[in-house]
Formats: sequence, structure tokens, C-alpha cells
Amino acid sequence: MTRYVLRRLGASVLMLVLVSILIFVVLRLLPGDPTITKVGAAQGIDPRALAELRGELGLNDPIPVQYWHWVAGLFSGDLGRSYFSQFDVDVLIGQRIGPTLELSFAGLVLAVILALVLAVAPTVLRSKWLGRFVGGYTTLGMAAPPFVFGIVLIALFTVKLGIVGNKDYVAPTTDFFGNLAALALPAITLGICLSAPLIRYLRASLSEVEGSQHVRTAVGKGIRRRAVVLRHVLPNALLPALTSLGITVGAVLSGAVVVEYVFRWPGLGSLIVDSVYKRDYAVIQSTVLLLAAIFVLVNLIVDILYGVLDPRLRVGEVTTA
Amino acid sequence: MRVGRGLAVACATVTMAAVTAACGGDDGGSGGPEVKPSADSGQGPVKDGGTLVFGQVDGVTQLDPNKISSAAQTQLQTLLWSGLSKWAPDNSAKPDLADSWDHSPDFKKWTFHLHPGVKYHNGKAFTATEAKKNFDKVLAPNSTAQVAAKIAMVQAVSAPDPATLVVDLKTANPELPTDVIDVKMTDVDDIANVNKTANGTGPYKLKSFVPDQVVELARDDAYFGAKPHFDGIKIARYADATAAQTALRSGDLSVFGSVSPDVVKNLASDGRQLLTAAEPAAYVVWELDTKSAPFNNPKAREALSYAANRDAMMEAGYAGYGVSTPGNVVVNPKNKYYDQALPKHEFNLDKAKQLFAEAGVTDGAKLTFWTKAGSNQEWTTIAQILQEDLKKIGITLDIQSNENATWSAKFYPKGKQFPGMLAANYVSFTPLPDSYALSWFEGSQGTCECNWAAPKEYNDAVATIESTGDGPARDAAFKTAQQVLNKENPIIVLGSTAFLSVAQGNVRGAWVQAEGTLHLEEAGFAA
Repeated sequence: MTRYVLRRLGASVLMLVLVSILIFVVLRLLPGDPTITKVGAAQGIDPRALAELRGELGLNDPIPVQYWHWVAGLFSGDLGRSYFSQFDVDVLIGQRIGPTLELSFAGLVLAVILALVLAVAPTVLRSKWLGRFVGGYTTLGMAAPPFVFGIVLIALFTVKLGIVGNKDYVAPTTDFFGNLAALALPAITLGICLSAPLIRYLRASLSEVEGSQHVRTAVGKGIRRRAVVLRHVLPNALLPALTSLGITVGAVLSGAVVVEYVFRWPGLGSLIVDSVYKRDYAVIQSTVLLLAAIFVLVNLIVDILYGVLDPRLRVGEVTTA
Repeated sequence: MRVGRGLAVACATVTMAAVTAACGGDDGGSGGPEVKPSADSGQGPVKDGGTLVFGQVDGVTQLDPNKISSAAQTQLQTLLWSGLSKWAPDNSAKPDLADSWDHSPDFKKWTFHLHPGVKYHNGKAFTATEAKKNFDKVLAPNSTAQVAAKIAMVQAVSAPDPATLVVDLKTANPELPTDVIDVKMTDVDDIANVNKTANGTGPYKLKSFVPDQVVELARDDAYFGAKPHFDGIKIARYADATAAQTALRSGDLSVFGSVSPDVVKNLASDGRQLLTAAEPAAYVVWELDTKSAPFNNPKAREALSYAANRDAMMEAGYAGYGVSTPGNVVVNPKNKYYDQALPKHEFNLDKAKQLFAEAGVTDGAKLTFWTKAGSNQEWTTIAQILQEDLKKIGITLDIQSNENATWSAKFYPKGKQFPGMLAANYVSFTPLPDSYALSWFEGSQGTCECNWAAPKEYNDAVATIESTGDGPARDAAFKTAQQVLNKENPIIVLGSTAFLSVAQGNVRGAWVQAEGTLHLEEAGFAA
């Protein structure tokens, strides 16, 4: 098991190194110049002043040197400084990470609840119509991008029905109920989008487990269908679905970027989008790396959990060793 | 000063008749709503208190008042900071931190007499020495302050005593009090913390700032001028115009800045007010590279000007809230210095075809229209009209939309080559007699991305304008400069725009300056 964990850990570190290189290089290959967006592409700027500004920001150094400065900074706890606001990147992240985590958590919890209910219900109730509805829901949820759901929900609940206001974010410590009101629509949007692939995984897994020997035995013993599904099928079906949950965390982060932007949610997503528009390399590269690190960490935990929960994996490790 | 690019610039305001005329129709343009001249047009007393929420679709990225990154930031300029002078609605300069000023007969030495007892928001005293520090910072060789170009003629700034600032100029400038308006005073010694403190001397002080999201201001009770009315002002950024419109309708927003012309009709209803300008000084232009083919040939530029159906473009792109320019100059035809004798560039495809042919742009030629994606959709609308017209004379126009950073990097700053390309843009200037609009094209000093080498006749005219006070010599020079621009066409000017803001009916005392800034510093809610 230790060897398995160490291998997964090594792979995770390697993944982060590759991601950091990829982010860094791709950003600098993009057309656009942060110094120009910094001065607003406005009249009256001498090109020599712009060149000097590039020097001040370290953008005249060769890319490997710039990369080295960034990575060295990371190891000393310096994530860099925004070219625009001049705020340290860790300060900017500190301002935004709370709302992102809150939205991600709420979206994920909602997605898991939706997935469990919508995946299990057709199996328990043996309803074809419900099955078709869930099938349509998952197809739509996976096909339509999050911003479409966001705009539809705003149009429906805020503009048309006026039931839920499209409220500004307010910290839960300031106004708990105001925070919940603001959270409602973005969390539902994110939850819908995240639940679709989870349902798909879970339904496939349920279907597979449903045909297994121990389930047939339970049915043969006359145990009620609901009990069979909930006690014998679902627990075994959840294990494969755990992997998809790890991947879903990645989707949470990428989905939140879009959802935050649509709902003016002041999280990391909108920070990244704004920074990309401005080519604020310092902010983009450190923030994206942070999100990548979270994704890698969650998947590492899921892999380890999987190893713990599924003895076959550990046995396989020993055998191949 | 041009406050930003590609961003909506609201129009200023004077009278109903003037505005409706500026907007091209008796009804405010294209069947639009009644256009009110300003937010205080309703008259009535103003009460103290309340928080004004101002919404815009672009965020404020930083708070150094002399390094403006986007037009979104200009909203703060008159709230957090002060200059030696400030704008009056009639485009003249009126006292701000300086109570008065005087000048030498040759306009080369100016003395500003500062208001006593002023303090920065951090409590530090504002003196002439502080003003000098700000000037020195703006004029430093590596400065990226936009206002630096306007005061490039400053040779030295001195502070003989705490209440007196002396500005010596290399060349005369009769308009210096207006040119220094945008030199905003902040505590230079603490500039590293400007995004946390702002440290201005304006009527409101910084309460909180989350870049690209929200700026919250609180009334400064120690403000040296008239007491501000609001308890606070919140400048909120909305991800898109639809969200901001919804907030305005629901009453969450007090003012929505930079409203798209196509939605104004619906928004400026239910008692809400439309803020606009009598003489907008923002222009829709196509920038051309005059150093590379085909637009290094003046005939190709002239041809393009005749191929532009300005009336149709301004109508389609701006829903009538703009006015096409009869001549190809960055001067509003309503401005009293506009040369009414300028030959008009009326839409004429035959003439365009002939001139293009003489410039070697013949059947099958291809040009590129470089515009923005995700914003300024009206530029694409305009491009589509040009595309159809050019097609009739055998020229293909390839419309390419790019997000902001890519768009600007293609042709900015001066010196870039972009052959065969029309770069859509906005430029906004202080109206004449300020010389800035015309000096943008001037010889080696000008920073027009068009790379145009202005002829001596033009440079001489601008030099005369810059150094001469009121009088026939300056009037003649204004005409000469416009005539050269109209003939040489270094850029194509389609029209001046009437960018719009919508305020709730209870907002009083707000007004919009010609180049676009919405002034809220003296505004309040109706009592």
C-alpha cells in the first residue's frame, strides 16, 4: 500500500510540474501584451515607456528565466504580483477563494444528492418514464454548457417569475440568509451540470451490480426490491462511481469559472477570466496552478481511498511487485 | 484626454434641444425615448445620505489615478481625487485644489495658488511640494501616465512656498489649466499602497476595493469643497449588460453607465433618466497603417473614406444616438471651431472605386477589418455594411473579431505595421479649443497609431494652436489643421457618438462631460 501511495504521489508531483510548464508557455504564446492592456491601449504612451514597463515586469527575460523566477518564488511562498492591481497574487486568491469553495461545495453537494436520487429512483420504482426523463436530463446536462443553464435560470426565476433575485454575493459571516439567497441560483446551475455525468456513471454502475450473483440471490430470497437496491446494489455501485467523483471535482473547478462569471460571483473563476482577458500572467499562472493542485490532490485522495476500499487493487500491487 | 478605448463613453449634457439635435433627430434618435439633458434636470432639493450604486460592465483594475487602465476607472477620477483644476459642464476649467491661477503674457509660466488646509485622506497635508511630486511622477521618462502627453511641454515644476505651484513650459500653452485637470493628486510617498488607500483629496474616500469586482467609497467629511451628498458610492461591475439592466429595473442600481444604444429605449422609461451629451467628443474611427500598402497611398485612404456610408453606419450601429461627421476630422461639427467649409466625404462608391484603382487596389483585392469580440458589437455591424459596399466594387473585406488583448496588440502603440487593415476604435478628446485632438497626429510628438507623417503645414498649424491664445491666428490654424486632415485622411472618422448612461429618476446633480466621464461628485438623491 505504501508503495502504491508513493507511486501515486510521484505521479501527482510530475503532473504538477508539467502543468506549470504548460500554463507558463501557453500564456506567452497567446497573442496580446499585458503592458498594452495595462495602460489601456490609450493614447499618449510612448513605445519606449512600454518597453521599459516590460522590463520592469520581467517580460524581456528569456522564457526559461521567467519560469525559473516564478518557480523559485513559489518555493519561497511568493506567488507573484498582479501587473494591474499590484496586489500580491496570494492576496487576490485570499479575497476570492472563499466564495469559490462555498459555491463549489454547494454545487457538489447538490450534484451528489441529485445524482443519488435520479440514478436510484428509476431502478427502485422500475419506471420507464422516469428512466427516460433521467436519460434526457443527463443528455441535456452534459451537452449544454453551464452558462446556458445560468442564463436560463436568471431569465426564468429572476426576470420572469421574480421568485429568486440575482443578488450580489455577501459573505455568510455578514448576512447568512443573504448569502444563501445569492448562492441559490449559481449553486443550482453548477449542481445540474455536475450531476449529469455523475448520474450516468452511477446508473451504469447500478445496472452492472444489479445483474450480479449476490443481487440475484437476494431477489431470490424474496427481499423487497427497495431493500435490495438500497442495501445490496447501491453500496457496491458507489465504489466505481467514486472515481467519477474525483473527476467531477475537476469539473467543479472549471464549471465554477463559467458559473461565477455569469452570476457575478466574486471567486477564482472570475479572477482567472478577467486575468486572461488582460494577460495578467502572474495571476493566471499561479491561480491555475493552484486549481490544478487541488484537482491533483483530490484525485490522489480518491485513488488512495479506492486502494483502501478495494482490496483487489492492493492485492494487484503486491502481485505485480 | 482620451480616456480609454473601445469602451462606451457617455455623452455630456447641456440642453434638451442641443442633445436631441446631436443625436440626430427630434425624438432623440430612431424613435428613442425623450432625452433628458442631465440627472438634475428634474430640479428640486437634494438630500444628504444614501448610497448610490453605479453599475458598469467593466471592472476597475487598479487605483493609481494617473495610470488609467480602462474607461471603467475614469468614474472614480473625480470622486477619490482632485486636480489643480476641474471640468465645468461648459468644457472650461474651474478651480479645484488651486483657487486661482495666472500666467505670463507669453503663456510659458503659470502660477497656481493652492487652496489652504487641504489634506489627503490619510491625514497628510497637501501642499505645493506634494503637487510637484505628482507632476514629476507623471512626467518621469518611464511614465505610462496618459496625461503625460497633454503636459509634455512642461519644463519644470517648482514649489516656492506651500501654497504656490509654478509651472514653467518649454513652449507656450494657453490651455494649461484644462490640460492639468487629469493630473490627479495622490500621496506619491505612499504610492505603493495606492490600491489599498487611494489617498486622494476628493469628496469620497476609499472604503474597500476588490479588483475587477467592486469599489466602495465613503463620504470624506473633511473634504475641502462642498459637502458631498451621498453617504457612500458603490461602483459595481456586472458580467454583462443584461445583468446590469435587470438590476437597474429592479432598483438595485442607481445608475448604469455605458448603456448599449439598442436597449436605451426600454431602459430610459418608468421615470428613469437618460444622460447624454450635447457635443460628444468621442469618435468612431478606423485606424490605418499609413506606412504600409495600400494605405500608405493617400488615394487609398481617401477611397476608403468615400466608401464609408457614414449615415447608414451610425444609424445601424448606434440606433441614431450618434451623428455622422461630414468631414473626416476628429472635431464635432457642432463645435464652434469646426471648419464648416470642409469638403464633405459623402458616400460615393464610384469615386471610391476610381480612387482605389488609382492606388492599385483593384478587383479581387482583400482588406481586413480588425475588431473586438465580446464587446463593441456595433463595430461589427458597421463592418458588415462596409463589407457589402466594398463587395460591389470587387473588394473583399475579411472581418476578424478578437478579444481585447489581441485586438489592441495588433496596432498599438504607434510604430506597429498592420498592412491592409482597418482597426476599429474609439478615440475621445477634449473638445476644441483644446489642442490635444489635433496634436495626436502631430509630427514626432503625436502618438496616433496610424504612423502618419504629418506635413509641415499641419505641424506648423498645431504649433500655432498650442502657443496662441484666443484670436484670428489660432482660428485660422484650427481651419488649416482640419483641412489637412480632411485631405490626407490618416484615419477614417465615421461620426461622433452619443454614449449613454441611465439613472433612476431620483438622482440629481449628475452630469456627463463631452469626452465621456459621468460626474457624480456633486450628485445626491432627491429630497
